[in-house]
Amino acid sequence: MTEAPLRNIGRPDRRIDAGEKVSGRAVYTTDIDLPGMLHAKVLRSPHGHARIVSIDASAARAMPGVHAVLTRDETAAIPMPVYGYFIKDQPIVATDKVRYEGDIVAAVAAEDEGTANRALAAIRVEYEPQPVVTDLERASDPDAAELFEEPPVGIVPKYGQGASGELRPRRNVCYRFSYETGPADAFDECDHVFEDVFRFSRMHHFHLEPFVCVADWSRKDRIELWTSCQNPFPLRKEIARIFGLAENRIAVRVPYIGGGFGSKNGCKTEPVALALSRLAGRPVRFCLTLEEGFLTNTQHAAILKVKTGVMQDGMLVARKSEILLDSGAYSDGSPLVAEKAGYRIPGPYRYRRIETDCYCVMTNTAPAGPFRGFGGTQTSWACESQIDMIAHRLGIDPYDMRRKNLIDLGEPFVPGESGMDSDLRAGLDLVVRELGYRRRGGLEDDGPVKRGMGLAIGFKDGGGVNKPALARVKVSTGGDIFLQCGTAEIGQGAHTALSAVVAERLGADRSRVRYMPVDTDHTPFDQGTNASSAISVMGQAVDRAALAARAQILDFAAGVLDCPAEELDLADWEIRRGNEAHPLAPMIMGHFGGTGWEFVGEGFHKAENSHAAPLEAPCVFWEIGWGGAQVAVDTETGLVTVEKLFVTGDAGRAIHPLVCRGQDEGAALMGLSQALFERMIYDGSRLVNGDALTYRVPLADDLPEDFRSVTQEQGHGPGPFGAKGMGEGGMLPVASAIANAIHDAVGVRITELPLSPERVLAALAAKDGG
Amino acid sequence: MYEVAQAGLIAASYRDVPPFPVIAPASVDEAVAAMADAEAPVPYAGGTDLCGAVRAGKPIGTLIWLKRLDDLRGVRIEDGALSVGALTTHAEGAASDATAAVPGLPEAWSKLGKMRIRLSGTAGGNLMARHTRYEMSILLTALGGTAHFASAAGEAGLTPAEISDRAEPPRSLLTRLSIPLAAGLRLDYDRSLRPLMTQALALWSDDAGRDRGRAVIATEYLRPFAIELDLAGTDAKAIAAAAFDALPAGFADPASGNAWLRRAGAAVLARQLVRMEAARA
Amino acid sequence: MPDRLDPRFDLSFTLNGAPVETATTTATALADLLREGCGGRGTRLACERAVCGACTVLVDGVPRASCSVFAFEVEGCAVQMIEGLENDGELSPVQAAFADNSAFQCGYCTAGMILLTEALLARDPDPDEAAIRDWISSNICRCTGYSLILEAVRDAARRKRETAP
Repeated sequence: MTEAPLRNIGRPDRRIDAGEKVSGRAVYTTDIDLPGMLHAKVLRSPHGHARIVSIDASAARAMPGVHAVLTRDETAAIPMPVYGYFIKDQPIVATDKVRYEGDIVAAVAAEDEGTANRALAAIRVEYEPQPVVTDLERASDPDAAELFEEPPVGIVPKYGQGASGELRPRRNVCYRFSYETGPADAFDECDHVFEDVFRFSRMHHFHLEPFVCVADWSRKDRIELWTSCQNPFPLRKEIARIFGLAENRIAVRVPYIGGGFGSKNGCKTEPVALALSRLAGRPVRFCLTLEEGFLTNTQHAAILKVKTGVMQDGMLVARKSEILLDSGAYSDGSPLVAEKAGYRIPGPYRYRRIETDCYCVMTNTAPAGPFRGFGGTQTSWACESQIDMIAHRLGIDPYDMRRKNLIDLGEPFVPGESGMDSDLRAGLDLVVRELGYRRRGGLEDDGPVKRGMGLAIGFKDGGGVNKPALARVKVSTGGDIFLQCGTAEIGQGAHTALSAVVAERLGADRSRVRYMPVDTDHTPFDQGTNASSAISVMGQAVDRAALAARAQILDFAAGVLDCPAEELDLADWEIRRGNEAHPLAPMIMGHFGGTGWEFVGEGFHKAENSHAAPLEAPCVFWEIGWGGAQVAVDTETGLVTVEKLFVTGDAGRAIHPLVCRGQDEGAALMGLSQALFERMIYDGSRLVNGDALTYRVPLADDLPEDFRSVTQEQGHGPGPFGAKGMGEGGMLPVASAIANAIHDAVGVRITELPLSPERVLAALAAKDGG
Repeated sequence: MYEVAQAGLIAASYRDVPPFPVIAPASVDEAVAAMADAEAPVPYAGGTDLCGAVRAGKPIGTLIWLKRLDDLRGVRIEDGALSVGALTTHAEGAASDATAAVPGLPEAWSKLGKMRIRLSGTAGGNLMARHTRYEMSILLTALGGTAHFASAAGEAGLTPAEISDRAEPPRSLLTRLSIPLAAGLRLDYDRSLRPLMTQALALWSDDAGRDRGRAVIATEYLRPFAIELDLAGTDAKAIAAAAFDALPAGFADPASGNAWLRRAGAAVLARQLVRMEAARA
Repeated sequence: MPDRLDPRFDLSFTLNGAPVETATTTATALADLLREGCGGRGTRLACERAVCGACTVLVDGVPRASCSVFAFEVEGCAVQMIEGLENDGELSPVQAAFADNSAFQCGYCTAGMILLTEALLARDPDPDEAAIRDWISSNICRCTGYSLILEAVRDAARRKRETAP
């Protein structure tokens, strides 16, 4: 390998998508337009829970311009018209029941959206309303209505040491994940045991590009699908299963994705569009409105009951947790989120005993699924709040409490796991320095406005579970590089980072690399763009593919030059041997003929399977977000103003520093917004604020006056050049850091998000009253 | 947000609307005539809200495009009142010299909407959207203002509360908002708790020279609630506390309970009173 | 501006500096006319009710959410969309500043943010921090956390001042 300075790594060059994105030329699924394309719209349930007595779509079918109508009558002919991750419980359109306000009942494909909507308005549906289930803690009561009377098809994956799962463990719970390790009697030896309950709010992803796809199933044995989906291969498999078509008959293509934050993870618009396309014999575009997005996928609200045993000196000993996740009406990714919440609730600390049960509770609300940091957002909120609470109860500074218990660099998180790959104390000390945490006693109050500071360390296992990735690097006669891999560009900058890795390995400028369009017909298999895995998992596959291509090129040159390959180096599409430079193109044409050749390298990565690891494969990397906040709390109104917010992640090695910074800052602002105001407000089963006007997302003027991030490069990551994944960590510490800062300022503890003025003022009143 | 059809929820689109005739009157008289004669007329000004309204099911028969009605643009002082043309954009209104006749109003108006909206959104459109989130009705309520409608049947004035309660006169056009310039009329608008709560405070002297005040509290979901203040005391906190005893127990929304609105409203009001006293001194 | 338009009519305006004449309908949103008819697909639709600003274009220099502007309103106006900012294949200073500062991620809000910045800098070549935040708060970016966008706006102002004649 060359010892020369790196030419593509760690440089803030323009992202490879910069030109297309600032000029308007970038193509998204919303831009796809096929000849003869129809437009789909759907009819949604006005009831939170109801039996469908009858559906009469005859008037809609007869309307001019309507080419297909999809109801339960049509889906009955589809081999398996239900979908979901572990549990196949979500129908393409409702069959016997509707289970939330917004559940899809019927769909129409017409010449234009207006015609489709007029046809939908002509469909008559007779409902028999049922009692709704919306309270997480009462959903399993014997008298609660049941969302699913019959068990849907589902699986429990194989788990390793200490972990287990169960389908339908109790009424209205679709999945339980449990984990335990250490001696069961560990609580007995604790000086103190503290039990606290935390409530986590629910957000919508609010990705700007809507859920959208264009489906062409006009030919019986061929599906072509363009979709805003971050997991094209799992989607292909799911479509094959639903419709009974071979996977090699299905092409899934993913243009640029206009944001997702976890939501664009599986079947969303695709089954409806495909079914309509088959019925109509024409391509169908199905683009949801932003309001429909709220009814399609959300974050998990949660109740977390955390019992922690400690010694008098602050040493953590045991933690037992029960987590209820509001999964909404269909399981979607909930079991995955349960695994992660159940696994991440200890936080980055050392215990002798961990015991967790996490339940996916079904309610008559929109389906919840993957959302940036999932499981980790909920658990970091509870864990990092409780660490501060315990520290205060014991009279220990929260900083010291954390330092005492943090896992060491290289220490396994739990038995059978991989070692911690960040120096957690170094990150914490960075926050303390940047925030001026040590000087917080000197913060001045301003009349009724009191100031304080708080710290938190967000924590999650990154890189997915047991995740395979394959990449291919091709190099043409002229040295043009093709990178083929399945990571979708959803904004995170993965195409830029992965291209930089390839260019670096091949001694080329990054501009020589083209990231080829993602198309399941040609792209090597990938499990999906999720879990901060692009650089940490796919990055390793890409790195190996580039090195394999490089090795082939050097071997080829060694043959031509009749020397050992070890003497050769590759730079700027020349073979360097000492002071000699041999241009490759003439060598290649001399050997392969004038039409030239393509070198092809493939690279694969997957964590080793291991039954010792609780999730059957050790964690790829640990994604840590350290954060600190300074707040000003108005004790007369309860208003919390975040004056300073500092977040820092560990990129291991920042392949592109601005991309890393943008990931941390975007995530941190999402965390800030969840901490202070952003949430879906439900009134029973009705979403009150499901539109852009009343659902408040942060704007530029919501940024704290002092908002900064630092990208650490500790160098211990598994990815190329020591890189770790980014993108979720920055969100994790923010809410608890702010709650901790509020406590520091005014001595009240808010255990429910958002940290609204109402809650703060009520807590202040309760404190004064007591 | 949704057109609730007989059978359920349909995500309406502006693309659902069939094309319609557009009339662009050159004068207010022509506009009033068009409102009287056209089929299902819908007046249209800055355009920031009609799309949302259409998606919520508002039908358009004939669009009456008000673009040419320069008479309805700008802020003037007329007959002892501030007269705000219905087509005055937020940016124009906040910057107008006439607006400064009510101290505090330019600052308050400059906070309505973000810049893209302020450049196109109009005073009249803000009011007629009848959206509890929108703020012109809060300011107008505090200042005792009236919205004036013109129709073939003549002129009519409606208070903001009346506009919330009922439809405007049939086939009428909002022409202007008027704010009587009572002696010493001034405004403080506190948005620090928006969108949970905002509060406007207007102070003035009545004909007998007595200090008068009105506080208006509003939330994202509730129409503005006006409280006439008893300013006899000198302690701002006492005045504010007494004022908020008047807030009905039912004044609460999905985001905020009554107890908090009461306490925070009183706290904000006390500060507003102190702030305005300081500004006067 | 005619007194009256029929549901179907011929529209003429200037798009990115070039005259356009096209048949359209009164119910057509400017966004759809630009995306489906004569502009290009760089104008992106998200909330479709004038809140998010992803579909922002400049109408006579004023930033407007093109989802909520009828096409007929631009009769005789100069409309500027993202596709028109490049000059002979060269990015405008604002575009270049967004590219160089990585002031985008998914790119869906980017055209709107860039046009908003163009409008700001046309009015105020040296905006202070408050003005920049105020303007950029007009539109929603869900990805970046805004910091890099604010840096790009400052950088763009600097570039434009340096290259001003």
